Amino acid sequence: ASAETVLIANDPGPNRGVRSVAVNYLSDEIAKRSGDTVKIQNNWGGALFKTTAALESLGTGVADLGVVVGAYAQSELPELNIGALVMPQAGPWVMMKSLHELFTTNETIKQRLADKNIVYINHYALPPALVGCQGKGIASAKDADGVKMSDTGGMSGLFKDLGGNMVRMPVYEVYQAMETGLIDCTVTYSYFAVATKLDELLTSVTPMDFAAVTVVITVMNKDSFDSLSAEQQAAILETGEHMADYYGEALAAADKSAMDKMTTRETPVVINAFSEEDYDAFREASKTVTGKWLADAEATGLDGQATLDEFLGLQAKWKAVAETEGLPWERN
Amino acid sequence: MDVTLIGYLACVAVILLLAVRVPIAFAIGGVAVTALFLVFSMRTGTFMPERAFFRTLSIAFSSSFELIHSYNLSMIPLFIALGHVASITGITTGIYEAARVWLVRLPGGIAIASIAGCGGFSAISGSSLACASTMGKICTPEMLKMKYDERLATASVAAGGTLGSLIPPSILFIVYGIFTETSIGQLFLAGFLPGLLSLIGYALVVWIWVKRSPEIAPASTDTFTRQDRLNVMWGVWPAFVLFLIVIGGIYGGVFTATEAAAISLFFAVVLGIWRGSIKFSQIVPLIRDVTVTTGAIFFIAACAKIFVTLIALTGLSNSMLTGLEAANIEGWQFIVMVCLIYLVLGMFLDPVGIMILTLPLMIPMVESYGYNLIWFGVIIVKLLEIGLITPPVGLNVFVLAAAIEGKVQIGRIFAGIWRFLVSDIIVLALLVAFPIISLIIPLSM
Amino acid sequence: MIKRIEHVLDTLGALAIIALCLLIVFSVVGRELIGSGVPDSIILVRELMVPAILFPLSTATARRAHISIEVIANHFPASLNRWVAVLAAIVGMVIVGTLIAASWVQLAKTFSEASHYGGDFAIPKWPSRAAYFVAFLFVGLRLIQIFWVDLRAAIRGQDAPATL
Ligand code: NA
Ligand code: NA
Repeated sequence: ASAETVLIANDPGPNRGVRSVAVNYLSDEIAKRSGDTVKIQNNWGGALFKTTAALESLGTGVADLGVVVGAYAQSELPELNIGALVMPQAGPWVMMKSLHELFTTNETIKQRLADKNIVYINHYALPPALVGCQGKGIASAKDADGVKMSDTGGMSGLFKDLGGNMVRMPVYEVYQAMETGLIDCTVTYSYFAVATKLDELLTSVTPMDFAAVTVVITVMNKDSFDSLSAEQQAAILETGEHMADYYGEALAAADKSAMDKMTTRETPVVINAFSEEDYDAFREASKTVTGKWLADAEATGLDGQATLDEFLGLQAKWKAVAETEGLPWERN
Repeated sequence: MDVTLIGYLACVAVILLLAVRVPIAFAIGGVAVTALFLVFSMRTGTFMPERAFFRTLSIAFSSSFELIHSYNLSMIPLFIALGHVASITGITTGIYEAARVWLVRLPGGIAIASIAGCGGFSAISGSSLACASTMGKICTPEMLKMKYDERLATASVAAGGTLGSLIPPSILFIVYGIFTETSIGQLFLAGFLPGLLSLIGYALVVWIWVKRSPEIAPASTDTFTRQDRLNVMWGVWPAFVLFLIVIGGIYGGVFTATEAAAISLFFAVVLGIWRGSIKFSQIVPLIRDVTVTTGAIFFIAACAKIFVTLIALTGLSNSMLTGLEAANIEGWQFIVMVCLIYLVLGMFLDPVGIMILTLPLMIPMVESYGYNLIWFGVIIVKLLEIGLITPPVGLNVFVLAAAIEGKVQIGRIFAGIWRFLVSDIIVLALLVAFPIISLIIPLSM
Repeated sequence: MIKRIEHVLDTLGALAIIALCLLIVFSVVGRELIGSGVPDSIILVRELMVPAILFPLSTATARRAHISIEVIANHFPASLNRWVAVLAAIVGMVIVGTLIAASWVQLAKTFSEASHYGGDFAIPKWPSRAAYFVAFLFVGLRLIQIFWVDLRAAIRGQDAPATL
């Protein structure tokens, strides 16, 4: 066997933006921790396969390493989508830490991933979502009634039950739809909006202070993983464990600079806030989604309620850590 | 054997098979899956055919299925059907009658009008293939009817179709914008003048070509009175109304550019039934006529997608680009090399595939040279558009051939294309030399 | 027999195009008039694209309508071109055979796991895989027939029929 193993990786996104920095961090750090015996060759833009085929492709070994997105594996491995359910407020770091613990300690989940021939490495959280609008904007849950909104999946689904006039479209059509006035609002993320210059069209944003959506997950093909030495395997898993700290910090910085850009521009964006009653309305509306998730879990033989409860316990634990000790990059 | 070598050998094998007239989809697809099998067999060091077999199956299915299982590409069969319905119901005949009467003195007037029509169509569709197939269905048969040379009648529309991605809206600019974090709005503005310049270039090609060989576009000896000219304008209204509905719908915020395809097909059918030019029972047979050719085009595109994954896995594009990075050359040499690499890749691969393969490595280099990314985006899209009409894999040429049901041989279309390529190269050189052409509109907004 | 099946496939393909056209039109109209489009319309359009695009592929194969480049081969002697046609059928069987096997694996998997898309109706994933498999199965059958017909023609030194 040669001294150096090259792992082929596939990422659905461009090599731009804060998440690509984290993907590069993962490859560099694995190389470093393995004493340069494991190198990762990244393919961007889903050059090998799209997210819809990721679970299958990584299990088969088309690539050794890559991300799966929970939303595209709802019926195959619903646990991958647990980070999309509406849950008590928690920032990206808390979400990544608690999901990492769930995925590395829950034997059932580990076995179910192994059955799909994959090994879990780390989670990537999205920053807290926000509703971006032009015109009047949405300052309360009631305002959503009749508003034309893009429906690109994920959190946008919540607004359907609140009476939003959902315009179904792929993400890449959002910009033009906003520009022509086909939609008034879209659910987005501050740094994504700034990166794609969507922010230039927005006049108001309302942060959605839920648990940060965390459904993008790095996994490795199990055969490739098993063929590595114990030290190499440890290098990969340790890097995965460390990702929450690294990415949490990078994400917070990116989110802050994006929000700053929107609030300090010539005509600053108006920032609205949802009230407690609004959040109650959202949680009520989210019950259908959670119900569907539980049904999917049951269909695949996973005890959905127990898993969800276990996760909520972990989430509370890491939230307490964040509150008492502060976030790792803010500690001194 | 080195996997990159397998990539190069696969390209050679495709060229050889295409040269001896193996169907394009078979050649690209057959070579791609064979080479993928070899790559997967080699990769583990030890030869493991069973594992390689399932990996090949997985990639072959996911790449081809994802292409077809697409919301955004639904506009292509819909627009092809629109072209068919519009020409059968006579919605477009009125335009041609008007063009014939008004442009009687202009050499190759109908071909120039068709190119201008492509420019107009580009404003409602973000896809060059949709543009070439719809306009091909509408314009080319009319030109053939008027005894235009088949090279002129086809190549003008295949080239005109490439305006679809320069003139906004444009799927290629959206993909580029996402990959480079540049403003999609600014890219759209930047593409407008280069699109117009390309259009003028194509019109000049037709004009010069017809001036030098008048027999390829027989001039009408008819003379028309002023009354004739006014009368024919009446026949234009159905097409004009359709165009207004679609333009108004997209830019007035009623529907998206993708939805526009379905809306316009629906209106064309309704209009046809209302004017009595088609019967309700004819609709299914009418659509059935066009689906056969659509399938053949998508099959080529699906096989090209499998080939893109092969290029990615063999690191072929990466090896080209790292060579470029290591060369440490002047800015202008870099741009020339970029153009050459894109022209070569454009011979075989589809535009989005090329962007995914090259932009991740290319954009950091472009930035290190300090070039404007909006301007560079226009150059890239222009290069990708050229790839749509270069042999051996010229998707625009193929969709056009399919739209006219193979009435003109592919080789004859390519024989007409090279003149338009000359114009494209000149336009490209102008865009490279004078970035202001691309940047003046976005800068002044 | 196969001609009749192909006619049915072509008709289903046309109906799929009409269906996805109406789906999008209803979605736009619904949005404007009653404040709601057709639920899951994007997923449904994607699912319909598979029969719309691929069902007519068998007829295209029978008509030898797959696009090829003739410029160089036009200068070949007829006997060589007849053998090239046999080669073409073999190369075609490599890709089409791969796609038949690949889609069968996917069909079996999505069916046995009862996988579905997200969205309002939890639309199952297997129908589009089944459509893909059926479409290429008939293309494969046609290719075997073409291979046989062309091989016979090449051996006998006669021209093969232009369509099947
Ligand atoms: Na366009
Ligand atoms: Na080409």
